This record gives sequence, C-alpha cells and structure tokens, in this order.
Amino acid sequence: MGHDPVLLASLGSFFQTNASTVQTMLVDALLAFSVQICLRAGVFSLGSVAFWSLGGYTAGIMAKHGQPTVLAFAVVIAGAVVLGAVMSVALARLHGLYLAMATVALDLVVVVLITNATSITGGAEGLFAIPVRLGTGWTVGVVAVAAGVLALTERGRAGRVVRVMRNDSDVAAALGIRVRRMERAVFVGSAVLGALSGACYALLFSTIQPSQGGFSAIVTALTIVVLGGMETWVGGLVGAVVVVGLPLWATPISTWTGVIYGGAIIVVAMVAPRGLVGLVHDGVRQVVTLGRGRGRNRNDSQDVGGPASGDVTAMGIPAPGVPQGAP
Amino acid sequence: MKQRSIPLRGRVTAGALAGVVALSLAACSSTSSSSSSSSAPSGSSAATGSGHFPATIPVAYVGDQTGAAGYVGVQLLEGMQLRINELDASHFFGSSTIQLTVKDTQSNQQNAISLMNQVASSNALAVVGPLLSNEGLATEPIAARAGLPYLEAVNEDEQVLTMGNNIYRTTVSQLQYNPLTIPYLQKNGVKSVAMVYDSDNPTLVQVGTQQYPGLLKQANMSLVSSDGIPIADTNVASLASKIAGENPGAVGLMVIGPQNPDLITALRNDGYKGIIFGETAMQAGALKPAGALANGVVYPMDYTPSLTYPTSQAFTKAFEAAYPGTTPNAYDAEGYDTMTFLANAIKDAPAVTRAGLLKGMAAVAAKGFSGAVGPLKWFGPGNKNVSTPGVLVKWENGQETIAALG
Amino acid sequence: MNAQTVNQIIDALALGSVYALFALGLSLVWGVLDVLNLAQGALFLLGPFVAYEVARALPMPLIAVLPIAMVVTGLVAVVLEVGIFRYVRRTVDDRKRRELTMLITSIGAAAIITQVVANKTGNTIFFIPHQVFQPVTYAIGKHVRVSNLDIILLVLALALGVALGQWVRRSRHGRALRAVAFDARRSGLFGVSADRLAAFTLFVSGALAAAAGVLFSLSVGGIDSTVGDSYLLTAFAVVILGGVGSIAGTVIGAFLVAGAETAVTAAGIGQWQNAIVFGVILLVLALRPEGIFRAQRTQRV
Repeated sequence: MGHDPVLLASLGSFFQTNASTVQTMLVDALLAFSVQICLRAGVFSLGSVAFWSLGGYTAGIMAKHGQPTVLAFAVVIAGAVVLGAVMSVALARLHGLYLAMATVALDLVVVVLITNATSITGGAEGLFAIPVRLGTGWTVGVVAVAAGVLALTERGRAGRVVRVMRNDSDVAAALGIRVRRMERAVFVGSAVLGALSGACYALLFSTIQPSQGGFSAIVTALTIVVLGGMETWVGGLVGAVVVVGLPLWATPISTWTGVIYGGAIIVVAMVAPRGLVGLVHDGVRQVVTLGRGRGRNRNDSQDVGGPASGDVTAMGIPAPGVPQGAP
Repeated sequence: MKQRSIPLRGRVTAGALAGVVALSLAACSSTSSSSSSSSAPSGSSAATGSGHFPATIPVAYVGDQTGAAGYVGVQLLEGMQLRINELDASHFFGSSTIQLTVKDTQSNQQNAISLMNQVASSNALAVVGPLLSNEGLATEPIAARAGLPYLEAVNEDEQVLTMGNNIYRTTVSQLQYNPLTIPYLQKNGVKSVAMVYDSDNPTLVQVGTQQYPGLLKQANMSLVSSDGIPIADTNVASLASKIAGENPGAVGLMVIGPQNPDLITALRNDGYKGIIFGETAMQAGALKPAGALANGVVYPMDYTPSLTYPTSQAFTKAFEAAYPGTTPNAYDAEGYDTMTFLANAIKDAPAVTRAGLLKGMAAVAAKGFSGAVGPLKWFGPGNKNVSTPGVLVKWENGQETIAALG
Repeated sequence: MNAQTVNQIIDALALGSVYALFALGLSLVWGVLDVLNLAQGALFLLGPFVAYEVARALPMPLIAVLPIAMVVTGLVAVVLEVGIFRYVRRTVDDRKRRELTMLITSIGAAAIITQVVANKTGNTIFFIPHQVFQPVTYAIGKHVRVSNLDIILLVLALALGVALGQWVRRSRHGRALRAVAFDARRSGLFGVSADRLAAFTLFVSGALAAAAGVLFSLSVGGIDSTVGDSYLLTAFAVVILGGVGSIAGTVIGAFLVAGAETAVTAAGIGQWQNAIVFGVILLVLALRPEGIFRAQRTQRV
C-alpha cells in the first residue's frame, strides 16, 4: 500500500482549516504542562493561569510596540523567573490546599489589576490587533522543547526525586534532597511554562482579555491535566486535545458540556487517576503481557493510588549519612 | 465538518409552517442532526437556481447558541430564520434559497476562532459574527484575511469595526440611541445623576465613563458619583445605600444580568425616589425579578414590540404569527434586520462572490433601509456603522411601554 | 455617626450573615474531612433554584420553601459524599493525592450542578416568586432603614453559628467529629461511624449553603447561574481569614470580609474590590498561614 494522495490532500486541507484548533491545543498543552509539573512534585499550586495572563499581556504589549518576537519571549521568560522566584519565597510556608488557595487569590488579583490598568492593558476590552508573530510550526517547537524538558524530569534520577518529593517530603529531606530548593525550582518552572503559554496565545491569536485568566481558566487547566493524566507530558497534550477538540467536534451536546466534562473528570479522577494516558498505557501493557504469555501482575506496575509508594528503597539515590540497605 | 452545520434552506410557503420549522430548529439549539427537518420538499432548489444565483446561497452564523450569551444568540437566530423563510416564500432570489450554516461558539473565544477559520475556508459567502466583544476582536481578523464579508450583530464593540474592510455592523449600538435619555431627564427636572457601570465590560465602561458624562455635561446636569463594579459582584446593597445617601435626581445603571433588578430593588428599598434609567440589558424581562419596584424605570432601545414604524409593526405581526404565544424582543428584530441587510446585499452584488458581496454591502449601506427597528442609516468611516432613531422604553407592570420616540 | 454609615453597617451585617452561613459549611468540611469542596458554590446556587422550582409548582410561604430547599440541597451534598468523597477516602492513601482528587471531583460536581441549573433557567435571571416572601423595609428615624430579611439573616447566621459551635464542642457527635479531624481511624472509639459522620457533615454544609442562597436571592431580587462561583471565591477568603475548621473564626471572618467589601464600595472604588480582598488574603496566607484566628486543635498546614 502506497501513500494515498487523496487522503494526504484531505489531511492537508484538514490541518489548514483547523490550524487554529491545533494551535489552541498546543497553547493549552503548555498551560497543562505548567500545572502538571507542580502537581507531580506535590506542589499544589494553581498559579499557572496568573502567569498565563502576565505572559500574554507582556508579549502582546511588546509586539504591539514593534519589539522583536525573540526579545518578547526573552522578557516573558525572565519576568516569569523573577516573579515566580519572588512568589515561591513569599509562599514558601504554604502547602497543600493553603497553597492552592493562595495561588487562586494571586490569579484573581492579577485579573483585577489587568482590568483596571486601562492605559497599559486596554482594560476590560483587552489587547487586540496584536501583530500575529507565530505559526503552528513555531508553537510546535515551543511545546516540543517544553515537553523535552518535562520528559527529562520524568525519567531516571530526576523522575525519582520528583516522586519522592511528592510522596513524602520528610523522606526526601532525609535522602538529601533539598526539598525547599526543589519546590522553588518547580514553582519557577511552572511560572515560565504558564507565561510561555500566554505569550504564544497572544502572538497567535492577536488578542487577549483579562476575563480569559479568571477562575474558569484554572478549572479548565485542571480539567485538561486530570483527563489526560498528570504523570507525563503526554497526558497534558492528550488532555488539551480532548478538552479543546470535544466541544468543536461534538456540538450536539454543547448544551450539556458542563455535565459531560464534570462527569468525565469525576469518573477519571476516581477510577483512573493517571488519566486517559494511564488507561491506554495499562491497556497496551496488558495486551503485551498477555501476548508474551506471562502473568498479569508484574511487580513494576505502578500502583494507581500513588505510584512509587514503595519506590524509596529502589530509587538508588545515595542517602548521605544513611548506610545503604539500612532498615 | 458537515455534520455540525444546519442547512436551513427551504422553500416553505405558509407562514405557520415556516414558524413550525423555525421553532423546531431553534429548539435544537443550533446543533446538528436537524437537517432532516430543514431540507424542505423541493425539486427545483437542487438544480441551477435562477438568474446568476446558485441554487443555494451559502452563508454562515458563527454565534453563541449556548453558554453565557447563548440565550441572545438563539433569539438572534429566530429573527434570522423568520426572515429567511419570508425571503424563500416570496422567491426573493427566484428559485434560489439561502442556506444558513450555524456554528455554536458556546460563548467561548477559542471555539469562535476555530469555527471562524472553518467558515473562512468554506464556501460561505458571508458570516454573521459572534456576539461577545472578545470573540469579535479575535474572529474579525480571520475573516478579513479571507476576504469574507462579516456582519457584526449585537456585538457593540467599536474597535472591531476598525479592523478590516470586510465588516459592516447590522445592528445598532446603544451608543446611538442612549442620548434619548437626556431629554426625558430634563423634562423631569433632573439636575444631578449618579452612574453605575460594570467595570469589566468594555461597552459599559465606555457608556458609563465617557458617553453619559459627556451627555450630562452638555445638558448641564451634574455627575454626583460614578461607580464601577465587577459583573460578578453580587454585593449591591452597600452600593445602593451609598447612592441613596447621595440622593441624586436620577441613577443610571449600566450593568448586566441580575445586577439590574437587584440594584433597582435595593435602591427602592433604601427609599430612593428619583428616576432610574438603564441600557439595553434591561430588555426581555430582565426587570421582572424586581416586581412592582421596577415600575417607571426607563431604558433606551432600538426596538420594542409596540414600536410604531410600519416595518416594525409588520415584523412584530410576522413574528407573532410564526412563533405563536411569544412576543419578539430586540434580539429577534436585530436578527431579522441582519438577514434583510445580507439578502439585499446579495441581490445588489454584481457577482455572487465574496468580493462581489462586499460591493453589494456597500450599496445597501449607502442607501439604508427601514427594518424591524425602523429606519436604518449607515455612517462613519467606510459607512460601516449604523444608527436608528431608537425608542425610550418605560417598564410598567411587566410590560414595555413607549416613553419617547427617537 | 450619620444615617448613611448606619445603613452601610446594616448592609455589611446582612452580607456578612450570608457569607457566614455559606462559609461555615465550607470550613467544616475542609477542617473535618480534609475536603476543599468546590461544589459548595454550586450548592449555594442549587438552594434558590430548588426554592424557585418548588414555589412555582406549589405556592408556599418561605417557612415551607426554605426547609425544602435546605433538605434537598443537603441530600445532594450527601450524594457527593457517599458517591464520590467516600470512595476517594478509601482508595487513595496518600494525603496530598487525596486532597487533590477530592478537589477535582468537587469541581466536576460543581460543573454538573451549575450546568443543570443554567439550562433549566435558560442562562438568564431567575427569582423566587414574590408570593413566597415579601421583604418589608422598616424606617428607623428619617434615613436609617432595615428590612425584615436583614434581621432574619443576622439572627439565623448567629444562631446557626452558635448551635454549630456548641454541637461540635459538646455533643457526642461533635467530639467524634473532632476525632475524625484528628485521626479518621480512631474516631470509631466514640461509637459513631466515621462514614455516617462524614455524610452528616456534608448534609449540614449543603443545607447551610442552601439557606444562604435562598435568603440571599430573596434579599437581592434575582440571580443567575454564575452566582455560585463568585460566592465560592469569597467564601474561600472568609475561611482562610478565619482559620480552617474554626467556627467562631469563620463567623468573624465573614463579617470582616463583608465589612471590607462594603467599605470599598462605599468609598466608590468597587472595581478594586477583588484585588483588595484577595490581596489581603494573599498577605494573610504568606504571613500567617493558619489564619488570623488560629484553630487551636491541630496544625493542618
């Protein structure tokens, strides 16, 4: 079977027609990455959307003033690093739901500031007629780089460090992981990804409004992460494709979108905590395992309720002061 | 993406039947699967059509059918459908018919962008754009790049008009008829006014902080206070107390949603006796929650069912015949006029192409016409903006009455 | 003190009462069960919606409509507990993961409830029929005004606050409740099943949210389906300020937030309201993470 020219042509026109849908998916995937890296490391921050707004407005204003795209991205990233570092220090004492609450508050404050700083931000009407500086290709590039960085933190030693941090920060500290510093790094990384997502949005779609960064955006970002799965960057991407695509490809149900999403995230969070990606992963492995004629439950299968609760002994991180193999 | 669109073509003759068809479509909330009810029995429409028109003339509506602005979008669509059915029944395009494809943005900017891109690359001749200002700002450049004629309906954002040469406004912004309030205030001896506006709605910010302060100054009325509040703010009692304490001659409420009846209720309960005036968001029964407390509240509109222009009366009658048991509101009238503008432009177009239609639109805008809201005149740079005399409506016992004609 | 200031104080007390009723449930569920129930805003919306439907079907006075709305909403909250939260509590051992899962499922529940109400009300304003309750405004002196609803709200908020506080402190259930908060597994020692306690706590929080929602919607006039979110966020602020799980703190926090919002509006800078309230919350969290009125029993940071 060779290539089907008709199929290729129709695929080509499909992407042309749906380029903006794909771009929206990519932007949302970046935002999902930003939420993911926090949650994966046990840092319960929902501040990504605040940085999304700040990044979007910074890039949009700079582009409107004719600044080059590269400079705009540099400023967005630098700004996110500085502001992320400041916030991570300011909120250092907070964990769990309290941190979640504080970061939601941060987002609401940012929205009001943007809405009322009319001379800089265009107020409630937002920014519009921003020069379009990005295309699908560039956005894919940004997402690919971000995904690559995320992939590095998901595997090997880094991946194990992150898992231990999430499961038990005391154990992590005992193992010589500098938990506070890691948490700060995660917070800053999340800020950068969130800001990049906003910057891409503004430069792709030529407009941005304060209302887009509100509480409902936080809910959407969480929905993406939960549906796709928060363990790997693939989950963020899959979640974004589903959450952006579903309303467009299933308009007959649009009256009930809230019920469908609501029901889906309840079910997924309850029975498939690793999201759609986890489900597919398990399914594939099951098929492969059966094909090999082995037993179904292999020891390394990650347990649903918290992967790696037993990983501590197996992680191979030399713990200073603790002899290897000590009970 | 054929399955998502509703082809609304049809050669329905009887008015009552047209109403049934239109209602059944509206009941589907613009989702798919309704093509069976809409492709009317017709042998001729599949063939060539008449004159230089193709058998079906494809146009699109990227509008809000669900979500926050959904109830507005659905009513706009009712008005458009009524007009399409009339055009088909009167063989306006000979044996050709308008085929309207509806795409629901779900009141979401990102959906609107995606859907507008699909329409831009489809064979649609023109598009009626989405209703929210952020959707308009994001979608108009897409249509402009594709040379797609864009009709701005309901959306009152002023900036959208400046973004391309392909856009015409087909419904009148409140900025045009808001000045009707001023003579009413003068007649009632008002000397001082307090303004309230939603600080996160661009149009209302403009109306509350620029238009009315300017109008009041011209009329030698003093602005005693101006308060911006968030749309989501439900803490209206303290604001009402503050204003009642200032006791101005009139209070202007430039707010949307429940804030209108809630502020009226709170003001009257606080003993405020002056005039309360508002804007278009007070229409369509929005004041009912305030009960008798809302009696006497005035708001300028482009349409009210008792509007006296012959074309308005004709529309009101046609609508009530098509949708028995309902009363049309301004969104219905605006949808009707939008479709009239589009149909006239298609007829005046030198060629049935996007570029041809732009010329047709310019011709219609140059002439203007009398629609459901009365006389419509286009003005401004490129003749893209539209005005109408309007009407000052007074709310009395659950009914809109006419306080003054524009 | 002039009449207008008095009126503003009355407004603040009424608003604070709504916040208190609403936030008490949120605080209780968070403090005792470790669930940040984001569906509380949807329950606040569900209450008046039930009242609206019930009163349209059968003309009844408030004294009948309010309890029905409270019970129905409370039962919906129980469904959340039995159908979702209980399962999560049993299957997810890790605390961080459990908190996150509870929060996410409650977002899902909120989306479902809100969408149903939005569709049933056509995304527009709805209001409890006027024959249910006619607010009456009394004039005191020349300019001071107070409505019967203001009084009902304040009395109800304080009474329920005190009752809840007494219940948690003194009753066998209450002691067990505190034990659940401390250690879910050992609460059985008090002879009360943790499951039943959790369900009862959710019922109370749902009923309180419904009471707040019904009285609020009567006092303002009309509401729409977006009201839940804005109130949820304000209730967060109240709970954070008061200290999670502290009943007295929550009530005081409610009046503080209402007072602050009223002052901001009275000063004519209403558009900055959220920035001021949530800016203060951010500061409080950064400087004093346990809230201003630290709950004495456990440190749950």
